[in-house]
Amino acid sequence: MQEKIITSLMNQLDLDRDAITMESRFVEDFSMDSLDMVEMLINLEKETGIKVPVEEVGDIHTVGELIKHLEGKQQ
Amino acid sequence: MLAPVSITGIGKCVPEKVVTNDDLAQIVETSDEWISKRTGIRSRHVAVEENATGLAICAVKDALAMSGEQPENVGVIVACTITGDDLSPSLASRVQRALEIPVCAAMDVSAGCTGFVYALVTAASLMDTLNKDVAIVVASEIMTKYCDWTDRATCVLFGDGAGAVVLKRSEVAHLLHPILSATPDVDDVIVVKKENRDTPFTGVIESPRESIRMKGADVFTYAAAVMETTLTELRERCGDQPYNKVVPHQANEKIIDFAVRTMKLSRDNFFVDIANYANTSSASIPIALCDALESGWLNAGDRVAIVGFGSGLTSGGAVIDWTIQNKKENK
Repeated sequence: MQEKIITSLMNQLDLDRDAITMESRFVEDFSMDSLDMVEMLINLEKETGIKVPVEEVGDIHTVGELIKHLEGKQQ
Repeated sequence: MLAPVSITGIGKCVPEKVVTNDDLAQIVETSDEWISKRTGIRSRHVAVEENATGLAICAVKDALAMSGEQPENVGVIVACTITGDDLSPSLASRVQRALEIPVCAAMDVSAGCTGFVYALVTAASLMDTLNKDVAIVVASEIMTKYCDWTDRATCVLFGDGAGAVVLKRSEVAHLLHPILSATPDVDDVIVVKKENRDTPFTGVIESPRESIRMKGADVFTYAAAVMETTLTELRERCGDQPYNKVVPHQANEKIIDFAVRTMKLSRDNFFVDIANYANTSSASIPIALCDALESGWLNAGDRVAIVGFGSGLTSGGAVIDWTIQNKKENK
């Protein structure tokens, strides 16, 4: 799960692997806006088959929080 | 069934007034950086004296001039608009009158921002059904009249303009693989409500001035999905002669960038002019085709996919084997 999310972010945001940590913040560190978040969720649904409505990520600010949320939905 | 046609002329017309993002920052709380980063938009043309009919006529005259076709040869006019000046007659009928065409089929289609794709396919179908040799397809929109100019999330997104093409029956079909689709918009993702009017039987109806309402995240999700499915289907239908260029509806640069990544194409394969026009709804594809030709990006021999999406929720696409030489090539 973790690698899928990181790879997806690397592709979407054209980032190096080293630039993405569990503490990375979507808005502050990657300058992502609401549409970038939607695109991320679309990509993640393709990669993992897990659908995450955009309303669910309002309180998710970091890569680590997103991974935890997706792992929770997977179970 | 579509008549075998080629596009022999194209034209566009936009209002004179250009409103930059900095200009908008004087009206609502926004900035050039905020708008351009999120949408790719830098400026837009805004109607002051112009209207949808006038812009349409101007674009059609340019398209006819390029084609060398005489107005009296036009057998079909299909216009598309969601912001026409009159409930009736149709925009197409207004164009017919302005061009002094004595008799032809004239009608409007409404399919939101997908309107031009629907109109193009409708016109080529009518040419086959009615056995006509020449058609005009024109899209004209005055979106800024329907913006809520206190809502910074939507008013920055739209602009005004018109684009037109001339279709002529040809020996070989150059308009190929039409796709028209619609999915029920159960969540009212994109809505422009019309004013409600009272009659002696309804009592007084309070009908506030209505504006464009959009749910941005839902629109992006829909647009991203149909861009991918439509371009993929067009690619499959093209078989071993794939399209080499894409002219998408210009709604948001992020949607186009998403399609670039998803389709694993180069950004150079996509024509993007949203920076100068913002979202002109159904007019965006013909305006972009016109600019693509004028800039030299598009040329005879190109196989170009057009793809649109909009309220409804509609979507559509087609492939055009482009036959008009650009002027840069002629020099």
